[in-house]
Amino acid sequence: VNPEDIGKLLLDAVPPLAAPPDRMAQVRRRVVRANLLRTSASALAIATVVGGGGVLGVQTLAAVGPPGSGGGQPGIAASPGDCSPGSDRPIPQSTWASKRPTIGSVFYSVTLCRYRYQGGRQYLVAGPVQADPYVILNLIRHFTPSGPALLPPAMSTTPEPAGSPDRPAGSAAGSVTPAPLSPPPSPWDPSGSPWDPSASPWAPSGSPGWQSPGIVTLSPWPSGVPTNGCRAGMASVGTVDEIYIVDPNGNSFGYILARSGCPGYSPGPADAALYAAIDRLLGPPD
Amino acid sequence: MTRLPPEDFDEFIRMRSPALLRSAWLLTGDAGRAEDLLQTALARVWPRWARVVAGTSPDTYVRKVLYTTYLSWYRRRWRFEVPTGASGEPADRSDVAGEAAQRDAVRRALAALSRQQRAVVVLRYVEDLPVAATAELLGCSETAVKVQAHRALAILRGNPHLAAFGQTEVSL
Repeated sequence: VNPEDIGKLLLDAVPPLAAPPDRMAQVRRRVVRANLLRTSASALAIATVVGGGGVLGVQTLAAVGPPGSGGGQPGIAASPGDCSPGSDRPIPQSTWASKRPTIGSVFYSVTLCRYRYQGGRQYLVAGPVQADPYVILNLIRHFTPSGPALLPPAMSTTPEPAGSPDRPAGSAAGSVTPAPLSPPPSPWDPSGSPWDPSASPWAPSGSPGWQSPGIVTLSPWPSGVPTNGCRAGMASVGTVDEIYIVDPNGNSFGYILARSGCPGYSPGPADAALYAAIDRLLGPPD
Repeated sequence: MTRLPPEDFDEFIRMRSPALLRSAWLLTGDAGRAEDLLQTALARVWPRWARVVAGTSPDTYVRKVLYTTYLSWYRRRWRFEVPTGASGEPADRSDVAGEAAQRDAVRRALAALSRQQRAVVVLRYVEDLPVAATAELLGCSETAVKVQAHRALAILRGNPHLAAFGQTEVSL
């Protein structure tokens, strides 16, 4: 076998290949597309802004299944606008985590559900409330004592200390003083009427492919993590707020915020702001 | 936002694309896939171009990206390649029956090789790279290159399409 013959044979077999009119432009499009994919992934990662040091009660982000897959499963809402009735849902354990959800304008829809765990069962006590992400974002900013730097659009990723000058450790969440609320710039109606996504500037023009929120798996509480006096096993979860978010691609994510009844527990300022914003929508917890 | 490419990248694409496209065709056996492969490789190189030109040989780097893209790509997309009976290339007025037959024979013969073997054959016998450079480019040992090349030649030698064609055109 003569390698030169093979090379010549192969080269001779290559047909005349016409180059596209502007190959550079096509390559550029591919780069842009790849960057967009990366940006989307980063946006989701940023959505779990780090913060809330020392916060008990917690927040886990979990992607959920494909559209329609959750409707028949216990504990999964039939649609993003619904809350699971609750009786079959597992009781979440008290957990601790450094991640806290951030609701940015990249999401189209946010659905809030609140459960009360009692006697080994859960009960839906509030919700579903669908809100424009912009409303929640403004509420969070509004309740943030040290200003919007803690939350989007700055989307700080700096872990928040357990106690801060604005809100020392041990102070109660209820002591956050809300200023008068201006009317929310969205179709959200505080009286609880259904949110009309078609009237929202954030609503997609077509169906975003609504998905059912799935069961959110809570992360285990790391042993020895200081949480303002609460340690694993001490806390009792009473109220659990669940937030379901649908992004522009139709993907659903679920957050769980379990509020502990642990004595002396207090959230950090960022979490206090988030809780206050949720309470504004769902009402104060029991 | 995607920055505009440096002029030398634009120039590099203009200068080297025909050769890279030929290699891509030999790897994929299809003009459309060859262009797709080339553009994918170039898009991967673009963001790193400043570092690439700072290195020793941009051409080697781009070629390496092309081949590694091809190898990883085929794992995902074209696991079961089946050569078509007729050439998919657009008719060329200058093409004659002999050229078409040769092209078809080569396409079928290459389709009988594994992707690794095909990459080795193109690098060794078309691009005329030595064993060491081929091994480095494909990220494997020199022994592996020699083994793959040996097996590839054996397959090509026994390929009925190429053998029938080779009897009249070249002696394999």
